[in-house]
Amino acid sequence: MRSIQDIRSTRGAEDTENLELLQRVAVKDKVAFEKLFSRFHPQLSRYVSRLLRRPELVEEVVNDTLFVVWEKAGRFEGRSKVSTWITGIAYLKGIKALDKLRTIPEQHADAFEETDDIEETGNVIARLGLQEWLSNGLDLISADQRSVVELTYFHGYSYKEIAAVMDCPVNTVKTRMFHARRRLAELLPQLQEQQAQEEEQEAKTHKSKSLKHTT
Amino acid sequence: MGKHKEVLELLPWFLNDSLVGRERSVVIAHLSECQDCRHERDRLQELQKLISEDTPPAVNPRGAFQRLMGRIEDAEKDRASTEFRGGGAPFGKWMPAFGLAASVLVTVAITAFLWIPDDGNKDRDFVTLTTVPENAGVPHRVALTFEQPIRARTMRQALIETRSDIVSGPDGRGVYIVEVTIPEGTSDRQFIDWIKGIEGVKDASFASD
Repeated sequence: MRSIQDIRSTRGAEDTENLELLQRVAVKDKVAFEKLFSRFHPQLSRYVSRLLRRPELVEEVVNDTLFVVWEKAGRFEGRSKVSTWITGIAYLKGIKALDKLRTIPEQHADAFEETDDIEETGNVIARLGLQEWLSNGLDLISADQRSVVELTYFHGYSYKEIAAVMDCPVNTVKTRMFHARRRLAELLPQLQEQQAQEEEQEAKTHKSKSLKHTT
Repeated sequence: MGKHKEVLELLPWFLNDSLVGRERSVVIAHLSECQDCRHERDRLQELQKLISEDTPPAVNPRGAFQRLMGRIEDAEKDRASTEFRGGGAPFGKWMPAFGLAASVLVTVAITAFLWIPDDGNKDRDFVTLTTVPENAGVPHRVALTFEQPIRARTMRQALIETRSDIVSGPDGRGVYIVEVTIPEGTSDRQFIDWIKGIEGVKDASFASD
C-alpha cells in the first residue's frame, strides 16, 4: 500500500486541496483538521440528515465520521476523490446507526414502494406544502434510495461516485434511483394538481369578495 | 438496452451535469426526438429544485468541532496511557528492556559507590586477629564480560564474590573494567579461571593498560 504522502490528485483543484489537507491530517496536524472539518461538516450534516431522517442522530454520526477521518487519514489510498472517501465513511456510519435503531427495515421500505397505495398516501400528502411533500416522500423510500437521491440531486455525484460511496455496483445505484424517483415522481403530479385547485379556489374567492365589495 | 430506457435511467445524472462522453451525447440526441423523455426531464428538474432548496435542520459546527476535538484528545490520552502500561504500542514493547537496563545501572552504581575505598577511613577499618586482610596482594585490572541478559542480583553477586571495583564500562561490547586484588599465593591463571567460574560471568581476562 502506498503512503498517502505519495498520492497526487488528478481530479481537479478542489480534490487537490482536500488531499493536501488530508495529508496534513495524516501527520496529526490539528489546524488542517479544523479546515477539513469546516469544509465537510455542512455537507456531511445535510447528507446524514437526509440518509437517516433522524435529526437527533445527525451530530453523532457526523462526529463519528470525522473521528474516523482523523484516525485513518493515513490509510487513504487515492482510489477516489477525498470527498467520496469521506462520504463513504458517513454512509457506513449512518447505515450502522440505523441498524442499531432497528427502524423500518430496508426490505420493508422497498416492498412498500412496490404497492399501489399511491392514491391513499397521495391524498394525505396533497394537503401538505411542497417541502412537507418532499419530506414525507423521502420517508417513504429506503435509506439506500434516499442516499442515491441526495448524492445525485444535491451533491452532484456521478453514478460511479455513488457506487464508490455505497460500495455497490453501478447498476444497483441506477436501480435504486429508478425506484426512488418513480415513487417520488408519482406523488408530485397529484400535489401539483392540488396546488392548482387551491390557487384556482383562492382566485375565485378573491374575485367573489371583490364583486361583493363593488356591489 | 433500448435507447429510450437507457436515457430514462441516465436522466438524473444528465441533470446534475455529471454525465460525460458517449452517454451525454446519447441523452442529448434522444431528448431532441422524444416527448416522453423531455416530460420526464422536466419532472426530475422540479424534483431536483425541491431537494436543493430543502434545508435540513442545521447543526452548530463550532460546538460540534469542540466536542469532536474533546473526543480526539480523550482517545489520545487513553492511547498514551495504554502504551505506558505496555499495551502493545512501540514504546510499551521496550518497557521490560528499559526496566532491566535501568535496574542494572542503578545496582552497578550503588555497588561501585559502596566499594570505593575510603582512604580517609582506612585506619579505622575493623579487623580481628583472624581476619585475612582483603587487600592483601597486588591490585590488577580485569576485563569482565557478563552473560546477557543477566539479572541485576546475579551481576551484583558476581561483583561481590570477585571483590572487584568497577573502574569503567560497559563499552560497546559490554566489557567492564574492574579492579581486583589477587590473593597472595594465587596465580594469575588460577584467579582468572576462578572468576570465569562465577555465575553470570561470561569471560574474564587481564586488561591491558
